[in-house]
Amino acid sequence: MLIFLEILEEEDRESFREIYERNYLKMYHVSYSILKHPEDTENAVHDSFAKLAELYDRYKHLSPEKMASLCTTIVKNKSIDIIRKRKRFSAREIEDEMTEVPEPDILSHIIKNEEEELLREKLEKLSEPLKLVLILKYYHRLKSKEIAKILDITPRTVEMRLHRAKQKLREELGNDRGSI
Amino acid sequence: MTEEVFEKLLTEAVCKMAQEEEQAYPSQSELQESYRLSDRFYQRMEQLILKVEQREMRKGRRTKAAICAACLLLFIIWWHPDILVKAKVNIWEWLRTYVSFHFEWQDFKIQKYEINYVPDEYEIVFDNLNENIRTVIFQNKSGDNIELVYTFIENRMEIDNKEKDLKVLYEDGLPVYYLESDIGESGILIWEDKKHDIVFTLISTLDYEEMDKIRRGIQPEEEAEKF
Repeated sequence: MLIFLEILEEEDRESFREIYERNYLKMYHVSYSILKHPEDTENAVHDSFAKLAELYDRYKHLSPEKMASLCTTIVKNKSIDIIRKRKRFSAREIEDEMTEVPEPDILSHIIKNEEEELLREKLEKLSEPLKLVLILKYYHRLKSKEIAKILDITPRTVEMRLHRAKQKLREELGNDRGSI
Repeated sequence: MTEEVFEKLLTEAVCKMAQEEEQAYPSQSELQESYRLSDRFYQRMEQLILKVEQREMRKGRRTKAAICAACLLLFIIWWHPDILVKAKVNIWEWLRTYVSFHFEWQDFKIQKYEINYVPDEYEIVFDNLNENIRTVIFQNKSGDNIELVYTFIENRMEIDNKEKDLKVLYEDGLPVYYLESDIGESGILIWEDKKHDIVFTLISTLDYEEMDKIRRGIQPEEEAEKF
């Protein structure tokens, strides 16, 4: 029984404080690049951690790298929400509008085949809301219900965004390659 | 391109994009130089973090307590498996042998009874009354219980009194069924109030005289709760 309790004491995963310390500045950087307003950015970061606290039980076992990606995804979503409230855009308008979010400097990367390279290129050009859904679905391997909880949208909206993203990518690939 | 190939390429592309985005962000020291956040932000974050930490601590304590309890139970069962087996057999055998209930829902609430006598050292620890059944439990400092349950007589109770252990006594012309206890185990007293269509079950480690005293002290309250 004592051994049992000792095992419980050993925490390999990050605590909530460690997650905050490691990620808050990066989240601020990402959010500021969207919002360009310090107070709104601080609110976005705080609200993102509040969201993470809600979902902490579910995601506290993620590796530090995946947790970092989840944090930036959540803060991007919160920032988009703030823009929508500012400008009273609909969700669809936001998707179309937000194709010009400033990207961080992408390190040069050698991609092996032509199709993959083309797909990456088209992926970068997708709007942020669609990219967020793709990242949560394909990188974090989450289900639609889980993605909906993180992004504060309905599972149906998640499905629609996934469908729209894939459709856009296929169309773009088809245009470039001369076939769908 | 087939759907399968597309999905595979998409997965790889999205993963690489996500990883490269993370790697491309400035370092922690660069970010610390670039940004100065307000005191208000740090205060709000500290409150949020403390909330989460307290919640995690409470959860941790509950988990440890549950594990300790489970380990203790397993230890007891491993050390004295006969205790658990005996308890289970006794309860099941008594239920199977002596009593069968057939519940039918009634349209009205059950008559409420006053319990005018329990031995001094007992205090009430549970009292639940709904439309069809009332359960009252008294307990003393040693943890001995007196349990009283009463329900409608239409929830038919059939007593098998062929067994010699079950005594049938007559009080005011009505049968009172008594299962005598072994020392330290519970005895059971069952009787009916035909006027209000109620059947009572009293379970305790007390002797018959005390249980009968309790039985006599159980009287219907003046206001009926039927409607």
